[in-house]
Amino acid sequence: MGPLIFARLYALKSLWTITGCRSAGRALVTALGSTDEGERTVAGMLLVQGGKRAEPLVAEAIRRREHLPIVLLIAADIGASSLEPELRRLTTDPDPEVARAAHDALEILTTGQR
Amino acid sequence: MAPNLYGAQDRFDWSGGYSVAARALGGARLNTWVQQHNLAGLDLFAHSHGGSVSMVASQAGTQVGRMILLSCPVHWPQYMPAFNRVNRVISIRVHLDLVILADGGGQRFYDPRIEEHVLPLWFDHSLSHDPATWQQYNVPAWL
Repeated sequence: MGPLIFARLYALKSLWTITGCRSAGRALVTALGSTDEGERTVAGMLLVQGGKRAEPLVAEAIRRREHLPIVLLIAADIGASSLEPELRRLTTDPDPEVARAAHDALEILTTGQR
Repeated sequence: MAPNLYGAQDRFDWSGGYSVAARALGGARLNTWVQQHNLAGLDLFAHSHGGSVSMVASQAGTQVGRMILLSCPVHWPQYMPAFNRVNRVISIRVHLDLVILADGGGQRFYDPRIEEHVLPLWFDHSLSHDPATWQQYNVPAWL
């Protein structure tokens, strides 16, 4: 990941958090599917830094099954306990990676609540 | 040659989550995994916050030979190795790592007990675990 992609992600985060522009937040969710490891990581970090503001975006991504393993972890990282039933349901998902991430997410939620 | 534990069927991995809770859980799991496999004194190669997970595990009791931190964000003293349980700590990074910048961590360790090596590369968080980088800059010589 070069400085231009980094600057773009930061601009999206600023737009999303300062103005509440949902499409900017959605662009961060989309970046979770980038082929660039650095871009994926920074997008995830910025969403988590958005805290509860990210919850509707994460809930929508789960409904659409977008970038599911990582989105489930983000749900846990932001402490989205309202999404716990969804996470619980996904622990039996036929995709083993999704099921495992859902298990991990539930554990992280529990650890974070202690 | 050391066994390649990473490729084993019951290898250790952690969620890779972005929160303190995810790392705490990862560190506790790594400590349990090492005890269960009787691997006290193993070498740990850890990338990014995997380094933080290694440090949490050492604080929880894991004995480590070499702890090799690749592009590890610095959150001192929240994440620091238990130096009495680690033989050597080696940190390898690039200049101005953009992922670390986004993470809000420091770019380098200042504790003299950590051997710090900076590759002549910029920005890219992934280069420190790229086999081509290791060959080009003879990284094994630092270990």
